[in-house]
Amino acid sequence: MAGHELIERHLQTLAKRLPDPVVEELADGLLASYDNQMERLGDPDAAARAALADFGDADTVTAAFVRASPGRQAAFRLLVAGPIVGLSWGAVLVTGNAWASTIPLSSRLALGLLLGSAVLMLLIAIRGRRHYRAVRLAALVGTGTVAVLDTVMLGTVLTLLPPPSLLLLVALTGSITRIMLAAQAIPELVMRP
Amino acid sequence: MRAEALKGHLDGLLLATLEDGPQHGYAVKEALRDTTGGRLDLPTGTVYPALHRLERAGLIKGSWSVVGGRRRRTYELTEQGRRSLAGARDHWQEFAAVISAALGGGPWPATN
Repeated sequence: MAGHELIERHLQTLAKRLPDPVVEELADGLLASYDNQMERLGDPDAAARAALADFGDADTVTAAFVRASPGRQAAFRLLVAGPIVGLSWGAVLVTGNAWASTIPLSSRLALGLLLGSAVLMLLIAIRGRRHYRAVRLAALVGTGTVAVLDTVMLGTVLTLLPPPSLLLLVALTGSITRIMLAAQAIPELVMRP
Repeated sequence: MRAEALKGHLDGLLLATLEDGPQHGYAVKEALRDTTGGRLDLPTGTVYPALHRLERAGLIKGSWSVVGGRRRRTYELTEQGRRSLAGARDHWQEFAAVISAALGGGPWPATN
């Protein structure tokens, strides 16, 4: 069952945006549609055009895959949790006079940089529409960075042992929840295309 | 019928097409079109992401085979998928009865 130049071109566009197994599956569907149209219309050009019209344009198909992607869903969950956990830690730092702590400025800057990178990556993962691989990579980096950030916060608390408070409990719970969300999402982002 | 109108019902519709046995993505789309007399004719390319989502949710299971020299991914319902389909049917029947009663001017909720 030979394909058609128009269909090949469409698949090449999709191959630039989507993982190989997905493109392979889409190619089978598109070619099955083309075969059906060939039986119905008998003309290769008309059949290719009809199959492509029935299939949907590359932007629509890619956007549908990106919307349903595990990367986007993980990024969304972490971004929703972000302000709550961030505000909790902010309140803990303010009430604990963190600016007077012995933590070196370079460590504080590194933490701020990590936080900024995580937010940026997660936003890229949420905003992406046309590049599935970029969304997946941004979500993976963003999720990993959030996990590192929360682990650092937990480690700092265990090292400095600040006085217990309700705010600290809320912040710790938020960080542990985010680490669990990240631990759940990362294997899927790595294993699945 | 536009795809937007299917929001909330697409999963159940896709699961229903797999009730009688495994199907590949294009066959799922064709089954949906045929069983609705052509009124639900979704773009083929948008059926696949929904199938992937259902697979991640454990409602269907995919496997590869080679057909006519092409690699083909075929999907079948899992036990969880069958339960979800039964739930979707019950929910739809209840929903349709309520809306029909409201639009038809009949009494709702039913009173004794």
